[in-house]
Amino acid sequence: MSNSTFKGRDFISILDFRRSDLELMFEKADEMKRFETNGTEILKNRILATLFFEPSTRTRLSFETSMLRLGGGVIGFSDPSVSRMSTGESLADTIRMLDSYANVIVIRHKIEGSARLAAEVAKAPVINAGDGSQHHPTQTLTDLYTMKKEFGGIDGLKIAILGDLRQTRSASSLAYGLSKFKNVKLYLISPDALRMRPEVTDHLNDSSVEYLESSDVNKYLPELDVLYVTRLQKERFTDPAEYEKFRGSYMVTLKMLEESKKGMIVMHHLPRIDEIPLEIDSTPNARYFEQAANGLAARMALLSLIVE
Amino acid sequence: MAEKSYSVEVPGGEAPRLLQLLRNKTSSLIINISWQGKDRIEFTPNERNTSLDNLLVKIRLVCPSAKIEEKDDGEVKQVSEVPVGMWIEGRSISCPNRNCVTVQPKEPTKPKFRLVSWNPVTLQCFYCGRYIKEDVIGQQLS
Ligand SMILES: [Zn+2]
Repeated sequence: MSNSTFKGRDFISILDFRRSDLELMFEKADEMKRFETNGTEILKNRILATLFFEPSTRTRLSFETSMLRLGGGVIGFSDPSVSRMSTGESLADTIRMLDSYANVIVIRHKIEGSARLAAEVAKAPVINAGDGSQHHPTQTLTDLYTMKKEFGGIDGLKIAILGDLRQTRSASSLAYGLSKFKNVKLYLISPDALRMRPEVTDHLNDSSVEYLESSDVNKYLPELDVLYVTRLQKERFTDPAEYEKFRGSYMVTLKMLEESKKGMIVMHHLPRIDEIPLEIDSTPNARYFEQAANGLAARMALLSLIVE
Repeated sequence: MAEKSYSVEVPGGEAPRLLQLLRNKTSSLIINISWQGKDRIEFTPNERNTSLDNLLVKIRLVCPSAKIEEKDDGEVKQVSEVPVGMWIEGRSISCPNRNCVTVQPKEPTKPKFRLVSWNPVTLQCFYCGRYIKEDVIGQQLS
């Protein structure tokens, strides 16, 4: 696999890439670590357009910093009310206009499938920074890279994904990404009403991924290598009492960490609310800040491979 | 040149569900309701009907157990099943996800759907990735 197979490719779903592509990106991310602070010039004179039709400060800043560290420039907006979109211009027309300026386009939109449409319209490669409830490929690239760094590889890991698995795109996208690896066991832990979507579990079945679904993580803690935590959002529950009932059992506690397998790490795509209390931050299990930091090298790797 | 014609056999009572699909798309149409406990529809597609493949797929989507035979110049052959994984394009089915880009009026999408399963009939929207279930497909097509 050479770098040239990446040039100009869109990155809409983690499923668009093979395992070998992901492994090359991990290697490239390792290389990028040394440019994280002082930067490089490999994307000099290249322009990244960031189109955030839905707010996401962290993902946007991570992309913009990645491009600046690679020596490129950034244009775009993070508030669609200041763009022509507020006057009713279609997404397709906005993309066509920016396509003539940019070497790569990053888009986040609340309308599902927007990134696919953008990729069809644009000549420049398009990176999906999150749309709908299933895809967030650069978050997953970051998550997989973090697991690879921590354990040396992803094959054979036992990973619980905890929280609202129905609506959280980072959770669905991670399950898709893990399906590329061998002998991974997934523990999908959520209230019954917030189970992983059938689109995702069918894919796990088709890919022969071993998984179980449960609403209680505690009995599995002694087996897990990774506890991947997502938020339970109050507005997803029709009955507020239900939310209060579940909230407690989807918060990470020191007692849970005591009962967990030695070396288990806790990950979270951030921002967190109260599902990971501050006292967890100083435990040897916490990896969510490293995970967030790895997003920079992962995105630098992706941009350099796609644009260079 | 002789025209191709088709014979579709479906469980008794299901033929009326297919009529809407065939309206204005045939040059001849014969319906036998409850022929030996089955309904049978014989039709010859319009010459101008360029989306015959789509039409046959839609018949199967509405009635998955339909047996379809093609009569071509006296020769009769079974029309084979549409394989799972095939893509179905066009606007005769619309994604029921109101947040999908294909149902936004200003966006120039060409909706397409992957056939996920025949039992139950399930399609998947290419753009938003959501499943579309049998009852919704049946309602939209018939
Ligand atoms: Zn859709």
